[in-house]
Amino acid sequence: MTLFSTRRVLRFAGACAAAVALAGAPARAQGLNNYGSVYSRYGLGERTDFGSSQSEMVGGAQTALRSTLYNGLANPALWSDQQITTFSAAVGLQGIRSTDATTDGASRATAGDVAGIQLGIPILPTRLGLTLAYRPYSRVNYRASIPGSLVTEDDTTAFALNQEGAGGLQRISGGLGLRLGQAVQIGASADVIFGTVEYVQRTTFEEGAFNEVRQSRSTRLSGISGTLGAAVTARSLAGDDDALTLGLAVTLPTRLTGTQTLTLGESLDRDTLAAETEGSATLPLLTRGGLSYRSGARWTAAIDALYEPWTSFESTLPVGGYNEPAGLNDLRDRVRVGGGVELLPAGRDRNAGLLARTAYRLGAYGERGLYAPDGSTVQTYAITGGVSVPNRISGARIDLGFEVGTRGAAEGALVRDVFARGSLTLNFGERWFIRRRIE
Amino acid sequence: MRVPALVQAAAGLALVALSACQDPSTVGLGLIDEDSPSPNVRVLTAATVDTVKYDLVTSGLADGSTPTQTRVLVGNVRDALYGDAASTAYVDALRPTLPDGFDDRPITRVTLELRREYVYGDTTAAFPIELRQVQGAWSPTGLPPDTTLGTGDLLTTTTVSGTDSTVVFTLPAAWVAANDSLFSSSSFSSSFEGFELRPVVAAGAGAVFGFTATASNRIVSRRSVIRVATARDTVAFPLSEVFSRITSGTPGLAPMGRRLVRAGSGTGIKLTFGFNDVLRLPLSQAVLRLPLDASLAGTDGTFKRPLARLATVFARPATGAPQYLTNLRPAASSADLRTTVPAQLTQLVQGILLGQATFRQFEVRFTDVLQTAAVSLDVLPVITDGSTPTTQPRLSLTVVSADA
Repeated sequence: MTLFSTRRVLRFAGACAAAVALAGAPARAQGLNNYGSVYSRYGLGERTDFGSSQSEMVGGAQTALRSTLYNGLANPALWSDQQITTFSAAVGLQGIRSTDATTDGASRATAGDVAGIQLGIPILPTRLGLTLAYRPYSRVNYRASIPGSLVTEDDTTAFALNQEGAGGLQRISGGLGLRLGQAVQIGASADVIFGTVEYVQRTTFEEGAFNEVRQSRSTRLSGISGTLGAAVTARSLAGDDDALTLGLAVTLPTRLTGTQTLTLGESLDRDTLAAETEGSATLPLLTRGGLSYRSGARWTAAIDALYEPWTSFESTLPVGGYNEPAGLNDLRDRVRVGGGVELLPAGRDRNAGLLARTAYRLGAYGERGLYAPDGSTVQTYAITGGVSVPNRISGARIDLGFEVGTRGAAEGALVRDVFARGSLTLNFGERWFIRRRIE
Repeated sequence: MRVPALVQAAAGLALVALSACQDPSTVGLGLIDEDSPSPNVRVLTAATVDTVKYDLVTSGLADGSTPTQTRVLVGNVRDALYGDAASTAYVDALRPTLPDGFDDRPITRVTLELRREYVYGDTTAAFPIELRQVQGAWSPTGLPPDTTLGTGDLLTTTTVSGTDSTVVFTLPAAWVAANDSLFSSSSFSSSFEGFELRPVVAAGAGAVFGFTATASNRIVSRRSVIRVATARDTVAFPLSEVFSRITSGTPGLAPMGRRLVRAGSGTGIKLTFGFNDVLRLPLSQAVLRLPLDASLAGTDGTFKRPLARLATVFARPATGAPQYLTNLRPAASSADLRTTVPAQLTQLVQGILLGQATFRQFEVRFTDVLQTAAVSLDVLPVITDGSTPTTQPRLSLTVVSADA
């Protein structure tokens, strides 16, 4: 007989509330003007692929990375691994120093974000799992500023013309993972994608007698996509307690529909400058494959490759780097390769010390961006890593991650970003369903 | 287990503390394929410039209450440019706190002492002003500017000169004796309705003098008062309700390319503009300017025409009453008047550019919206020849557009 444990659910709910409150910190910070890379202007924003805090630390490898605590979002087939109900919330803070070939000095920006929130429920532990998740699909948060001076009949006043981007697409996913036999897993999810990409031209003046002018081109889009995943695991290859997993996931092309408006003003006090334009945008297919190898409970290694053909992106609404009527298309196929290792010194020994039960992770990735301004390829290289610290609450871990890398080059029109990112993820796991034996 | 908690707290604090950091620069502008708009100034010269009548208020309370009025005008002037004008003044007074035993002592002398602060016309002119007692109750609130208050017989006449800083009317002994109990009576306010000061038509150009009426001047000697004396003490009764009835005579003749208006006449300037070339543009600032011909104001020999240093801008909708927008004050670099706090004008003009506002017409008046400006005959010699953009009333619009 399976019973629902009210006490455990309440405790779990409390932990979830704490995690959501934590996720609100960068959300509040976002309201204070936070900026990132100017490359986030391209397409529908800088792509994000949060799978789990574990995968973030091992170079983004997640397609074949199996875990009973971490419920990676990239491959729904792996959701069948769930043994306990899990909840996690991840937030991040990124600093960027940007330079280009024409500007003396550098631009510095810092941005906070919610990387993802997810809830995993094992319907049939280690056989059938349900996952609900929220995570950004893309993020737009650039800013560049042109200083100038305006001569009027009375005097001269300084102004700054700020080109800014804000918003991005969000993604809410729900799906099932099913294990077939001992080796094969399959899964599928539905992904609702929605959001607003906003390009803002904000003119500010040094003299208070001039009003700030804020023109905004907002593109609001929404649509539904689907992801199919599969994984095959072979066990006892080099030892009694090892496993090699091959994973594959495909997110189908998605047609988003929406509107584009040109407005003047801010927030609710906006005036429409031009008639609203209806249109659509088609997101490209996303294919990813990965390998992971686990040796006992101490060592795990994983590698992933991702291909996203943004050259097939289509949009009737002009977006950054793409304007079909004007013949502009600076988008390119996005390719990413990453991998890393995890060491858990204590293995399955729950009585070991804190440091031994802490997981240590290190990884790296390289990515060719979805944009190629003036035909120039933009590469990103980064090192990732972090620790996963156990908590006194069974099944709970606090993950602290980092990522340091460079993007692009200060050549031609390109920009070189040097970025560092820190992340904090709260993971909770509880056994909601207790099987009691009737004597 | 303390370590995770500390780490968690530190990370949370870092998130909040660092998230707002930013240091924008021109880095990355080459990657932004937007048109780059920039602020630029578009000058709209007035399509039409006309005169317009508005409700004039020349009465008020001298103690600072609303409606406030701090001056009365008395005199008669002939002006070939701006037209002839005359003004009759009415002043009432309040009974202050009286010294002990004041009401037991007979009144020996009553004078009306007026402090001159303003002159329009011949500064050397001298002409008599007749003093009469007002009969019947009146209130300065909502008083039509052409009201003539009823008066009694002539009490006294005093000659006023442009060189006098103070004018004193000494009430006849018979009137003082007849009103001995009036000034100590608790019903003074309802029993006494003030005096009328009526000019006798002057020879020559003449002048209109302005006398301060404010009761709030800290220097008692600079207040206009009714001074009541006994053998032992003297009490100053401050002015309370005041009113100037200004009338216009023969109109003046303005030079070509000039529109001349004068305060105290209820006449302002009406302006219209064509906005077609700037429709739907984002607006950062709108400034309204009135170019003024200073040679048609100021002092010409002994004849003085004070130039207005303050005017107000109203917007007139298609229907309904005009709405106050802002004040016009002298520009820093010229004799022009311009809006110095342009926020409300900017908001309204932006509404016009976006097709949301039905205002098309602006009015320039002499009073400020709070009606606290002293009544005057100040002039606005507006240049309207239109030969250049700066010789016509104009709106300077700072817009943000790609096509500067």
